[in-house]
Amino acid sequence: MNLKELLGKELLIFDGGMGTMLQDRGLAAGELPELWNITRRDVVLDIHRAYARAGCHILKTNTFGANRLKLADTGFTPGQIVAAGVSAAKEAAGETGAFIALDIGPTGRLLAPFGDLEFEAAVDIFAEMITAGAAAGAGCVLIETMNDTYEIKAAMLAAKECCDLPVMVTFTPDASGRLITGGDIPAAVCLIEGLGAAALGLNCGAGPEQMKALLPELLKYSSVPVIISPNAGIPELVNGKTAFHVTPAEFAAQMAAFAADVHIIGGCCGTTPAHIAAAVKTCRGITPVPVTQKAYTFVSSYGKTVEIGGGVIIGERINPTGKPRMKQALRDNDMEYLYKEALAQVGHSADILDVNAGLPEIDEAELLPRAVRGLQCVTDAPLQIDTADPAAAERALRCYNGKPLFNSVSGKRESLEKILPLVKKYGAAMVALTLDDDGIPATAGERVAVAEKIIAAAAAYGIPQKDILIDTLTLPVSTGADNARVTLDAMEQVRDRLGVHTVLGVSNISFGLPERERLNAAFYTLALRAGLSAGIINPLSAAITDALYTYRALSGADGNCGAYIRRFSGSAAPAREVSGSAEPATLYDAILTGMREQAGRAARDLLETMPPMAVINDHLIPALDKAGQDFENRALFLPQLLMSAEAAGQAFEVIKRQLAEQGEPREKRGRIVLATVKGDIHDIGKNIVKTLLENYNFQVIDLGKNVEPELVVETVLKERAGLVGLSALMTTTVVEMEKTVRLLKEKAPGCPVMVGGAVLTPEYARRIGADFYSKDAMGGVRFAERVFS
Amino acid sequence: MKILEKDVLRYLGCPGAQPGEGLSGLIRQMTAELEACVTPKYVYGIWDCRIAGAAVSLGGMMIESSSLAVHLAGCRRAALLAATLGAAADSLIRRYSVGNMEKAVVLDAVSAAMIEAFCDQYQQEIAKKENAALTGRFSPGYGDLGIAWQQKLLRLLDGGRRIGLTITGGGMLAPAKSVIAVMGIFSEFSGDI
Repeated sequence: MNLKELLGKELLIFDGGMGTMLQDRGLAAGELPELWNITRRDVVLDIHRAYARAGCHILKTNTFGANRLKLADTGFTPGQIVAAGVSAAKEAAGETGAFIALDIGPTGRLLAPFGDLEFEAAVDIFAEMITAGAAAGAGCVLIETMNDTYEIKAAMLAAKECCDLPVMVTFTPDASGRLITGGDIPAAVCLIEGLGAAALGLNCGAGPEQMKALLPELLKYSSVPVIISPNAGIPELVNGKTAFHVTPAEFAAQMAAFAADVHIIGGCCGTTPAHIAAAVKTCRGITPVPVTQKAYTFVSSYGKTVEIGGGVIIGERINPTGKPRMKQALRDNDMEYLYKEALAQVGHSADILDVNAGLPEIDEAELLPRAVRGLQCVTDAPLQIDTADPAAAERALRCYNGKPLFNSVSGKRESLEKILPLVKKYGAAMVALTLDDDGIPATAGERVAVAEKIIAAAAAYGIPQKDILIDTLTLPVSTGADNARVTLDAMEQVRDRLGVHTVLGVSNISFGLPERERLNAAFYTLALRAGLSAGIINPLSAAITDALYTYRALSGADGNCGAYIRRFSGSAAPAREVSGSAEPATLYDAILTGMREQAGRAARDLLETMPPMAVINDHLIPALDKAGQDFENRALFLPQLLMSAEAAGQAFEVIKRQLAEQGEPREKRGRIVLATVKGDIHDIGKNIVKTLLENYNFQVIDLGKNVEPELVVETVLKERAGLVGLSALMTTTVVEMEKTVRLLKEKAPGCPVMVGGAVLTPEYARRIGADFYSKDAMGGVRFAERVFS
Repeated sequence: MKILEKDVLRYLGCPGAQPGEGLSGLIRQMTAELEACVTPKYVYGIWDCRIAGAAVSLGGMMIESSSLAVHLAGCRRAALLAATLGAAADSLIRRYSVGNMEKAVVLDAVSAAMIEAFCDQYQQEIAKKENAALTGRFSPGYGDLGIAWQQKLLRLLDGGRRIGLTITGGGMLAPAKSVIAVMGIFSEFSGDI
């Protein structure tokens, strides 16, 4: 029988620890165990043989860290080490017929944005290992000891793209059930299942006792066979030796207890052939429980999981349709505006954020994935990737960290053929529009029929029904008196007859009518009553979110009206307090004291009587200048200076909005490219400078952190920037700063360069060819003023 | 574990300043938010060490560093510590960098103070467990102990697997709010100070 047929039907047993066994045979702490596949093959073979004789069904190859990052400077390639590792395991397995699992551990580097390893580089690193392992004859791939969902995704995509072997994934949460980058067990399960794992589970990190606590949650959500491979207890490092305390007998007893619920058991660090032999003995005759399909629908990000159902809020505001300011931001590449919209919606109870970057003059396939990556740097709300362009869809789904929601597929043949394979490959949940090549059906029954057609087509690709959210389409009630009723009737049928989740873009109902919020709120309430699982709404509209709270109270979903009371009791009091407070502040004072809302309000008032540029030049800039002087005179601290800048930012936002609505371009003082140099991932200094420069009305193009010198030069030339600012924090990365300055001076000699960062000095800055060294953020502003004066 | 305002002010670049209620309040608020989201972790190990001129032999490695040799003078054993606040601190700082830069800056300083405070606590735990006095913490990047040693020391502790700590290509710790340090152990019976 092959492994796939046995999985879930018979209890399978992995071998135990390899690294700790090698240490007992003389591997020094810190030495790479994988090198022994070649240098001490006899020892590796010996250990594999001992495990095979202990009676395990699957041997893990000694290839955990055989990646090009860890093997750099060893003189060996991943191809050599992996091939040797598979060969040793196969030789040992020859005696017992054990399966061979190609063992893949983490790269050892954290992926961006937390670390500096780019996602596609990680995919490539894993692909190299998996290609070699498959060619050498491994029977399955085991991706293990993972503690970041993004890295799991990279490894699973590599496996998908390089081989047809079954893929198993085990991860290593801490005692609270969380991965290092914040993901919980449902987040890991929905991502791993979505990407098509044959089995999933836990390994390493903890002993059997500690893992026991996490197992129920894993079993609750997993629809594929479950693996559990604990350590022999929690390790202790004493005199350079790692000590484990769980004995073979204790280990075996606990594994026998697990075996009633899980499908594969095994051992990790500190377990030995004796542990595995004991477990084989105590588990003999145990047949695992059948694997059952769980009905939970999750979407996730790296750090947050949202279960679909009961009126989840999908924020609609990151979409240019009908929003001049958003259009302007997308055209200007003003990602900061998108980020602020995202955070504002999350602050108003949005669970998921829709992201749409579709504008005719924009390269959506370039912008959408960049927006997705950028948004995932600032919010952990899961995203709904919203595009009609298959190329943009693929790139955004690929780089997304988590299990995304995709918006949307329809019943049109082309859509089904192009979109469903992407949804399947990247393990997304999806919104399905009930329209097809014949258009939008007029009746509820016909819309449900389209829904059924899509569900069947999805099933043919292996997309489960639980990952589909049916959209029965909101048409403006102003264009047809039956429009709301048909949508709601169709929703009820989808809920009652098909048992599938539903989703609606709510706001379209009121198109063309006055007082739109009233209709939206009432329609939203009716839709919730008809079973709406998730509504695409404007969370900043209090009327809409109020409707959700009132509906939940009335429907009994909000027991004792607790959430309703928390939201509304005393809600009038703070408003009175604010309106009753002192005289409204002038823009100048509001900025100097760092009061954002007052600054916005004051700017709005001034705009009624004077042109935007006068507000900027006569009020805003003088206030910021005063704050800057106070900072330079040490009368203000950095956080206070930044508060003033952010308050000025609020006023600028009011001005930008008015200019966008009038279709007028905004006059800026000059264009500046900022970057934290290659190799450097600490960008707080650069962000401080950016905040100040933007609020002094300079146009800042922020390239982020870990930026290649070539990209800086390319951007300067393309955007015709008048100034570059570079930041580097460490002695190791100022070298990259020097390279960047040199390249700039060669390719863009007319553009001055200012530099800053913890380890820099004015002398060093001069030596590497920079035009200006700034000791703090105000220095950068002053230099920019000189350059552009 | 307590975060002291004076430490935060030092990391903010204004040591000894009188912050006023606004800034003090912000420091308290950021401290509370950080405390609610971090998942500090640490791993340590103890090795015999030997000082040979301007080098230290530790964990099977010969570390060429006169500053480390001076730091470990008189110690026959050394503890290696790796600790991290986890990725949540980095996430929170990034989130506040959009539109709330003053909070990001204060949070950055509070995080720095917090990881040091945790390390103080871990150090005390180690001292108690080993029933010995420890020297201060000495990290790669101090004196002539090169940054490149971070990777080797982390490997010795298996810190990637144990606490999820990694090192970037540019030699930075990721998650950022992390520490790798060496501490000398004065054995109580050795007669050393």
